[in-house]
Formats: sequence, structure tokens, C-alpha cells
Amino acid sequence: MKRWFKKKMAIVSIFSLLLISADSYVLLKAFVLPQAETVIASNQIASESTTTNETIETTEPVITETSYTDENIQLTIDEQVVNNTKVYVVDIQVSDPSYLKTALAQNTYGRNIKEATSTIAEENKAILAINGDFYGFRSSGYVLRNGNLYRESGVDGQEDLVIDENGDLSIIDEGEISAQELLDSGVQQVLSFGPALIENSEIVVDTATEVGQSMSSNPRTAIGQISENHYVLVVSDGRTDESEGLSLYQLAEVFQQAGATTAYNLDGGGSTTLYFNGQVINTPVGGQGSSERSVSDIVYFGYE
Amino acid sequence: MVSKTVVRYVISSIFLFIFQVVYHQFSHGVVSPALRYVSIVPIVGLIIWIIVVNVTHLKLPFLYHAGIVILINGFILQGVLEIAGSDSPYIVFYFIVSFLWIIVAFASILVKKTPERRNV
Repeated sequence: MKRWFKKKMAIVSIFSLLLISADSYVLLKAFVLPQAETVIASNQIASESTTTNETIETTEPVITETSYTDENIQLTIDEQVVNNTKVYVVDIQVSDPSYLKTALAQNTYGRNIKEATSTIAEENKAILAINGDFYGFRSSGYVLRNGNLYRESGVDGQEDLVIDENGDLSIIDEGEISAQELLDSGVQQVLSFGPALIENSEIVVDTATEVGQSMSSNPRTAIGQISENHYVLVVSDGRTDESEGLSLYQLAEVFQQAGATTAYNLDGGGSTTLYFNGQVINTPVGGQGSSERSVSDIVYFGYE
Repeated sequence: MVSKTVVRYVISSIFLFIFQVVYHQFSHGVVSPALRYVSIVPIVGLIIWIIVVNVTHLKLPFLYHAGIVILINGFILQGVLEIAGSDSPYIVFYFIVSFLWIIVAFASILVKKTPERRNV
């Protein structure tokens, strides 16, 4: 009897040990262990744009706490209160679409390769930056940045934001077009989070639409386009005593009021960060201490 | 008298239900169906166990219970990843291994010639 009990305990112990080891491996791979990967394919438009950028010289910009103006980039940050939430509406006009860029943490594509939005922004001398889609937290969804295709595994029904060579924003479904086709058509950026908020100047989310099927108000980051080379970014605080947060529908309403024809929701919650002129403007709730969460990527306006 | 197996399964289900309620309290409104309904797994597992015991008068081996544990584990991990907004290509292996073990457990009692008397 004693021998049988010992044998049974040994089997249960080995089983438990194996299960805990498997769990640890899965969680470490998902959240901790960095895995750098390489570019799958690239298009020529990106390198042409880069070459153009390098030759541009600007005069001294006029910078205030809420605005930046030079001959190529003009932006203003308007602070509003919507639904008991502090909302930052950034209106940006550029002379060339190449000033709208994206950057990867540590300039490297891969899972769990992360840096704070402000750090990536500083490394790229961004004038204004927001967090991107945090592609490195997931194993699917197109990743196409600055003309380089990094990930082409798509999910049917997943709405992506496409920024073409003219800087125009549009929404695609990963089930309807491949990442390679997007690259071949000259697309410069694809961000995979969502959902789309505005299409053809109409709100395309309803009051029940949410990320992860939840109904919560949360910090939000989103990008939209008003007209050619004219963009609007909306960043809302949330999860604090001062700011309740916005639902996706409320976020879409802010874009509609700003005159956006297309708008798209990016990674929000703890990732939400708005960086301008060397400082984080909003109140991030993503980490400890500084409260700024490390993310995979940013969207920014700048020259480098 | 209620068997130890029934008690273990019922306690597991209650624990999982409380666990998912507490976990969802901190999920900022994000809901994972995998985690929300994980407490059903031990109940279903127990019902199957009771049916098999009553119909065949045979006890399912440790492999069956281990398969249920792996299945619960897979659902919890999927829930944690879903709430975090992440995913993992490895979760599917939990479900595959779990179903394989459960199938092998059923197969093992089919080939048994004499029923076991002890409760597993």
C-alpha cells in the first residue's frame, strides 16, 4: 500500500513538474523572451523616400507647449474633456507624406523587443509620437513598416490601417488582400490592431463595439486623416481618478468632430502614450514608476 | 458516501469560478470566454467520469484526470493571454495533448478484462 502510494505521488509530482515547466515556457515566450526576426520583403518606395528626407533642410521651428511650426510640419495639440476624460486632439499638416513615419523598438523587428514610446521617439528624433499597434504582443497580423514587410500571417476579418505612398489612410481586411499585394502596390505602413473608427467620414463602430468584446472605457490611441497630408491623432487618458476613459464609439465621435474621413484605433490601455517635443504629454498607466509601458513600435512625425 | 473524486472535481470547479471572477475584476473590462467558462470543464469531466463508472463499472485511470487538468490549464493560459491582448501558438498543444490523454484513458478501460475496484 505504502509502495503504491509512493509510486502514485511520484507520477503526480512528475506530471505537475512537466505542466509547470510547459506553462512557464509558454508565458516566457509570450511575455518575456525577445525573438528578433528579419525582413521578408521590401519595396523601393521606402528607400526613395528616405533619400529624399536626408536632403531636406529646415529653418528654425517655432515651438510652444502645444504647437510646432516649420515650413514642412505644422501641428497643434488641443486638450479637451470628453466623458470626464482628458483627450488630446493633435492636428497635423505636413508638406510631404514621408514625414509620417513608424519606428520599431531598438530598431529591430521581433516579439518582446520593447522600449518606451518616448525612448523610441527620442532615438528617431521624433517631433511628435504615439504608440503603435504593439505587433510584438501577438503572433499574427500584418506588419509592414517603412516599406519593409516583416509579418504576412493574417487573420480573416482583421481590419488593418494602410498608409500608402501618398500618405493616404485606408482600411483593409486581412482576409481580402495579402501583405505581399499591399507591399507590391507601394504601401508604406500597415498597422494591425483596430477596429476602424471612421470610414468615408462615417462612424463605423457602434456603442457595443469593443476591443476584446469588452464594454469598458479605457485610455485610447488612434490616428485619422482629414485630407491630403492633413492628419489628426487622438489620445485619451483613462483608468485614473481624473479620467474615466473613452469607449470606441466616443473616440470615433471625437474624430468625426475633428473632420476625419478615415480613423483607426491603435493599441490603447497601458500602452497609450503621446510624446511631443521631448516630453510625454498624457498620463500613461502602463508600467510601474514612470507608468510608461514599453511597446514594440511607434507612429511619429519627424525628419529622420 | 461521496467519493474523493467527486469532491476534488467540485472544489476545482468552485475554485476556478472564483479565480476567473477575481481575474476579470482586474482585466479593465476585457473578457475572455476561455477563462470565463473554465469552471465548466471539471463539471463536464466529472459528469463523464460518473457516467463511465456507472455504465462500465470501471474506473478511469490517472491519464483521464491528467487530461482534464491539462485542458483546464490550457483554457486558463488562453484566458490570461486573451485578456493581456496577446496570443501563443503553443496553446493548441495543450488541447491536443489533453484530448489524446483522455482518448487513451477511455481506450485503456475498453481493453481491460476485469474492472478495477479502487477509486482513482
